[in-house]
Amino acid sequence: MSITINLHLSGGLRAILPDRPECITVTCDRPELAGQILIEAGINPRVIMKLIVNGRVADKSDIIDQDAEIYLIAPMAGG
Amino acid sequence: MLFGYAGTILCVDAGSGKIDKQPLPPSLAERFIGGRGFVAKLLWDRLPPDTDALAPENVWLAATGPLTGHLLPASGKTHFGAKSPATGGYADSNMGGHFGPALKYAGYDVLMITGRADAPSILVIDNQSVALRPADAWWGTGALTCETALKKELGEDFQILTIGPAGEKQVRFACMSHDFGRQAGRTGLGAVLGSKNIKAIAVRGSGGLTAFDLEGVYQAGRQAFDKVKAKPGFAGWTPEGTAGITNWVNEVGVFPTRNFKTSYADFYKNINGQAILEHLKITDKGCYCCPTPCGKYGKAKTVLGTVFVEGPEYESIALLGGNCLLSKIEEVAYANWVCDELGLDTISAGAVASWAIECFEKGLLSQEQIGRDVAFGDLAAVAHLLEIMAARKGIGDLLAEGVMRAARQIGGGSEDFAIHVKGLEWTGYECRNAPGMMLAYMTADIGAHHNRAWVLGHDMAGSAANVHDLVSAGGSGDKIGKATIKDKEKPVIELQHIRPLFDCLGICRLQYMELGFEGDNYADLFQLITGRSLTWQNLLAVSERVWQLTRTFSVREIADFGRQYDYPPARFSNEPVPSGPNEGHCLSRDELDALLDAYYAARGWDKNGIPTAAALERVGLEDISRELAACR
Repeated sequence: MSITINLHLSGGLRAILPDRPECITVTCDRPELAGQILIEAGINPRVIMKLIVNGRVADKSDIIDQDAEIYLIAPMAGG
Repeated sequence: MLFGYAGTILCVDAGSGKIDKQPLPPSLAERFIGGRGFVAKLLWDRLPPDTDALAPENVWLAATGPLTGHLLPASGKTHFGAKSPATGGYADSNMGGHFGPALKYAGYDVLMITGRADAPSILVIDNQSVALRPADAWWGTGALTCETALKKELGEDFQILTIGPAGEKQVRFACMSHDFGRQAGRTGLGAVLGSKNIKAIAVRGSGGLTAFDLEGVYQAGRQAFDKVKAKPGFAGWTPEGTAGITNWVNEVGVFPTRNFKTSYADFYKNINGQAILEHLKITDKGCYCCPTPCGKYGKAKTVLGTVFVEGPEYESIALLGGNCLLSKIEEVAYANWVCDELGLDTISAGAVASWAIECFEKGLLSQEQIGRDVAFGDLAAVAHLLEIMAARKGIGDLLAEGVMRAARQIGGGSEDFAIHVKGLEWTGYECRNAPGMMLAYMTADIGAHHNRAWVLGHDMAGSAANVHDLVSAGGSGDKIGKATIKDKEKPVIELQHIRPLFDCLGICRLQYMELGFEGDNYADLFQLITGRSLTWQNLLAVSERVWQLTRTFSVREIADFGRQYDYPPARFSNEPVPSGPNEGHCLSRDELDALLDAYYAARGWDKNGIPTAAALERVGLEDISRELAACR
């Protein structure tokens, strides 16, 4: 089993992590926590406010069990 | 011709009723862009030094930017300013909605009000017709009620800005309200308008805008909307709006609770963005030209009544919900509505209410003084405190002065937990283990405000994490290690130039980066509209100029201004976080000094935090440097 995950970093996230590329590809040989995938990609999960997994808002504790396009949104202040 | 600008400063002397339409100086536009830049420079030029903030001589300003009103994403921003009743120094605040575009369509880049009307008045700007009208019928009414009434009387095509009873009573954290839920909340600018006996400003504008390349602006605008909507941030962020960050701030332990004593709420899922969608929301509500409407208009039913209210936004959730321990979203929304109607800044009002409750718990304020028992988590108690502070009734008269002044009078150690910087109450992020954000609060030009440099993400990037943290994300059992204070000044300064730049341009920054737009896009739009070829870095250089000017304004206006004004309250140094993800952490006075030393050095300020002549000259403020030297 091989799962390919493309992590897309938002502009705000790249400002926080300037040494990371816009897209990071991670391959897993079994279903994995979204948060664990971030760690394996060298991204501190605490920097992520929201994940959008294949077009749907997800949580860092959700399990990724298929190929995925994951968009990572940094925290945004306002209000 | 000054492309992108209406070309006129509208000056209103509320005392004499004199209306003066002055040409916008090209040098002002060239050196300071617009919005916040105009506010800073006009305050410097037009305000007599040492003026009391609530005296007729104070200068109240509303300013638009070159991008305001164009068909671009979220181009509805208006920037306001004056000398602050809260801090005595530089003050500004901005809001979305439709007021700024209307002002510009009426033919004005800036509205400047001085003097004090003999009787309560409404300023009506109907394109080129400008007049003060009696406001006796509306004086004493709520800000939302007044807006409704004026819309009915003048017409729906007028954009209305109002103050509530708190502004009339010159509460030092009174806000200005517009569009039934947009507020310029911070720094007490509603009190300044109240001090001028101005209850409301109504604007109808039906003119057009100029642009260097109008067809280019249309095309760029269409592409901009497409770009924002195509980004995943649009779908991921917009549904909950600013409240969407509530989960994250609890996960990383920076959510203010119990008057900033703690930094985590176990009930946060009751008051988060999802709770708004499930229990309150009727419809999304956006500002002018906004493709990502963050406003959530809804209905809240509580034991105190049922209200219709926009929000709560995150900051209201933090200060009224977390900090006052209101644990149901309906309760937070109700308190939000009370603030909106009374014309109170929800941030400062929540901070003052929580401070008063802690004073009551510690025996520093009595039931007799307050008029009833008060406790954290008691909606009726919070509403009572809001009402007496807005009316300046009893002890409310002292609370209306804000936590800094109130604590000085109450004493008994209450200064240690009066959570402010420079006299402005702290917003929704507790920073005892977030040194970058702490530095951002300490050095924000208006006082303890988050939106000048929001670097919590940078702070968290340096914290260790493991998968166990994630599985139980949001729990209070996982601890975050002590954050380093090294190199925090760099992102703070960078963002202190980036974020306020949007306030100069006259456009909302929420489309920046996360929602689809990047810096160069703004430089392109600026060039199409004004014809001036400035890069993003050139624009940031102007923003730095404005930053140096706002600091220098406070130096001029506050006799002993300097480092001592930049420290946070003692609670953040003397009381480690008692529980939650950041348990055990605080920032010592030595660490705070190290943060300030590094920041001042990077800014080119002296050890006391005063901009040097060289620092001012480096950003093209030789004139300001000379004038400051002449004043001191």
